[in-house]
Order: sequence, then C-alpha cells, then structure tokens
Amino acid sequence: MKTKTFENLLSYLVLGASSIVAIFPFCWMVVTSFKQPIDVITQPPKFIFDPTLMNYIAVVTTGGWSAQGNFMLKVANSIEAGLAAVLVSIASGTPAAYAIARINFPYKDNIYFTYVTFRFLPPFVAIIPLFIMYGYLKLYDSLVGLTLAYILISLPLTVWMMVPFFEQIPKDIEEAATIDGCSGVSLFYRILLPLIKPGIAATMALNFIFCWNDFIFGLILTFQQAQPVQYAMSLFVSYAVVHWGQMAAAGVICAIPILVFLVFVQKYIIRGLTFGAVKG
Amino acid sequence: MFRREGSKGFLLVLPSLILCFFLGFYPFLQIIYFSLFRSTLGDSAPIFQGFGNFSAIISNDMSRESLITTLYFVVCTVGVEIPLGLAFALLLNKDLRGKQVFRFVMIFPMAISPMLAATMWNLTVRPETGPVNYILQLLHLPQPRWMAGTPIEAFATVMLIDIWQWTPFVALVLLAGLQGVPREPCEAAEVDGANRIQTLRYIVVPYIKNILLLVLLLRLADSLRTMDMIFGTTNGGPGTATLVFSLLLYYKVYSQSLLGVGSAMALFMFVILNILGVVAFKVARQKA
Repeated sequence: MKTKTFENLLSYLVLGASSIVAIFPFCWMVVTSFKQPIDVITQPPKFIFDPTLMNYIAVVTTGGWSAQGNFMLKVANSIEAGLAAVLVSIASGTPAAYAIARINFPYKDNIYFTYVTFRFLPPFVAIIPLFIMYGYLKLYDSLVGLTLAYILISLPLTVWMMVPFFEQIPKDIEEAATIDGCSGVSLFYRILLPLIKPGIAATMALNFIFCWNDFIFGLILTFQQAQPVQYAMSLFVSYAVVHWGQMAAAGVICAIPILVFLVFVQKYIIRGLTFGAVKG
Repeated sequence: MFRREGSKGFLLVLPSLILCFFLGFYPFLQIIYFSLFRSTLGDSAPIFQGFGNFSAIISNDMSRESLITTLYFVVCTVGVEIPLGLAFALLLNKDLRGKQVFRFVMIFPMAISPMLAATMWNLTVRPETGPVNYILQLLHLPQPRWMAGTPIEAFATVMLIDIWQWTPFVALVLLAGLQGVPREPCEAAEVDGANRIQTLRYIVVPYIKNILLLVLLLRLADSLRTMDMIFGTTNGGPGTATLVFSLLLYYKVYSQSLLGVGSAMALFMFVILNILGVVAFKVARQKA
C-alpha cells in the first residue's frame, strides 16, 4: 500500500510540473503585457512591478510598434470573416453530415473521404490558386475572400464534427416520427434539430476557434484592409525587437476567445483535431 | 426505394460539395496546370516544361536541404511526442483525484494557434532577459541562446515548442484509447507475474494499436507541414538551419514569385500527405 501512495505522489508531481510548463508561457505573456518597457528588459526579470495599461492602449489605438493601425480592427476582421464562414459551413455542412450518418447513397464513402482529405491538405495547394484567382476577382485583401478561405477550414470540420452527433441519435426516434407522419424538412426541424442543438453549438464554437487560429490564409490572401489577428500579431513578432510589452498585449488579445470558449469546447477539441475519428 | 433515398442523400450533400468544388477541386486542377510550366507570378508567357519543376525539388540544393531539415524535424518531434504522450496518457488513466484539472490544463496548448505559441515562447525564452534563462542561471545550468543561438540551438528550440504544443494532443487521444482497454486482461497478466512494461507491451498496446497509428499519422502530417510556428520564431534561420519545406515553399512563391516551382512543391507535399490521409481514413473506419 505504501508504494501505491508513493507512486500517486510521484504522478501528481509529474503532472503538476507538466501543467506548470504547459501554462507558464501564457502566464508570462500576461505578466509582460502589463509591464512598462523599462521593466520588460531588466535582468533579473521583475516579478513585482508597477502594472500599466500602456501596452494595450498603444495596441488598440495605433497598433503600436507594428504600425498597422488599431489592433481591434483586425480582431473585427477575424470575427466577421470567422462568423460568416461558420454560418455558411453549418448551413451547408449539417445536411451533408446527416446524409453521411444516416442515408445510404452511392459514392458516400468517397464523398466522406473528400472531407477528410482537407485535414491532410497542405495549405499551399489551396492558397496558391486562390491567390491568383483573387487577383482576377478583386477579392484579394477583402473580407469576402478571407471568408471563402475560412470555409475551407470550417466546412470539413463541420462535417467531421456533426457525423458522430447524428450517429448518436437512436434510429427509433426518426422511425417513430416518420410513422406519426413527420418527415423531410419538418422531421429535421422538429425532431433532429432540438436533439443536436448542443452539437451544433459546440461545432460552431470550435469552428470559430479554428478560423481565428488560422495564420497562413490571412498571411497570403490579405494585406491590410482585411488583415486577421494572427497575421497582425505576427508583425509584432518580426518588428518587436524592443517592444515586447506590445507584442504580449497583442498575444493576450489573441488568446481571449480561446479562453472564453475553452471550457465549452474542451470535450470536442480532440474530435475536431482527429477528423471525428476519436471522440475524446 | 434505394434510388429515392440515394437522391435524397445526394441532395443533402450537394451544397457543401459545390462549395468544396469551387474552393478545393477547381484550385487543385489549376495548381496541377501551374506546376507544369516555368512561370512566375504575373508572367504572361509561361513556358511548358513538363515535370521539370518536380525534378527540381530534388536537384535544387536548397529544396533538397530543406527536405532533409523537414525530415529531421518530423522525426525529432514525432519521435518524442508519441512516447511522451503515451506516458502522460498512462498517468492520466490512473485513478487520481482531480485529474480533470490536469486534463483541462493540457487542452490549452493545442487550442491556441502555433503563431500564438511562437509569440509566447519568444517572450519566455529571450536569451538576455527571459525568465527561463534566469531560472537556469539560478540553478547554475548552461543558458542556451534559444532561437537566437547556433543552428542547433535554434533547431532544438522550434522542436521543443512543437513538442510542448502537441504532446498533450497525443496524450489525450491515447487516453481516449486507453479508456477502452478492459481491466481484466491486465489484471490477469499481473497475476501471472508480468511486469508493467510487459503488460503495456503485450496487452495494452495491441488494444490501442489503431488509435496509436491514427495519432502517429496525424502528427506526421501536421509536423510535415509546420510553418506558422517556425515563421514566428526563427523564420528559417539562422541561415537555413530551420528552413522547413513549407517555409521554403512560401518564400519561393511569395518572395521569388516562382509560381511553377512553388506549385510543384505544394503538389509534392499534397501527394505525401494524401497517402497519410488515405491510411488514416482506413484506420479510422476499421475502428468503428
């Protein structure tokens, strides 16, 4: 019994230490974002200091050192394009997921595999042609263009996420509803939709996080007008030789939606990252 | 009946397929076309050159070198993440009170973007004024210069960040697998005198074989196309020490405007990743 206690203690120690490693960089970023420039570069690093909001103020007014203008505009770009992409994906992806989960139709496996392929797509395969196409269509550096690119992320994700949700619903419910004369669209709205509402909500949140986290599409398909957050933050990384505080503030702003949704999607994030193969 | 069902199924997937066609398949055909020409961005007279761009991937020194760098990167990151992730999964599978807290903390690194991870680590391991080097100094350990250091230091840094970000992912996927392993055979093995390693090797691993393969394939694919995080930390440097294939591809297309070469490189990656994808899809199907 004694070895058991010792072993558990050791497990806690290892897990505790790893947890600190897992969140330390984030904590340090938060601390740094409240430091004045002079406190950022002292050695040894200061753990107690006069907190200031100047970094945040600089970032949300002029864009600070990145010289890209108000960071909140980039946040707005990301939110707008992300939400639009999520809505289009849910609207078109949910019926597709239902069909894959429930209906037998020819080439079903191939179609399902097509969505899975997107999980393994090197982003440049899509980006290079889109970049050329956007040149002709005048979509370069526009929110519409960014939204279309984000659909590439969120539509397949919607299908992977929703298929298991539909599979979980017992077939009997649908059959009973059909016998009672409920079918087609009304079956979907009256019977299925209430059952998968939590699934749709989780999928939407996860979709939004994935779009928000995207860097490459934004980097190549936008310049300044439609610049999303990750791209804007990367400009702090490359220019911020001294302005670590502003870089940290931008990073904290970038992390906020993740923190907000994390509790909500933590159950599903594994499913999202494994194209629905692992329920997590 | 089947035909009616079938057409209903088609109708339901149609909207999403149309979107996929315009955003996925059409660009895909276009990139195949681009890859066959010697062309630059904005070029009006591309020259047809067959598979020349593809053979250049191997014959060009820089891209060959970046392929080797990528290979090192993949082997070093995935080679650490899988065993380490399995160890964490085994730990989290024990009856520990409050393990939900640890599980929740582990979600964090994989939920943030690689670019944010890069930003956070840039702040944390700054050579002169970062807290990590300060702690190392207190412990009288050598203080590396991390991403600003020698090629090996820089490479190790990006490697560590990748391991930091994705080991929890491996752990949680494998944990889902471990939770499906029945208790009885493990207990029986212990009664028969098998030690822990033997139980793990001969009983647990065969049970989670599929999920292990799946997570391996996913990590291989993700590691192969890593770009954001390296872009945000070392940007390929110093020299070309951390210039992985995706990053080189980015510079070929958007700094040197080499459209044909870039397209061929992207397709080359696509083929490799798609093979991983086909196997992963098969594995995932098998499990169900």
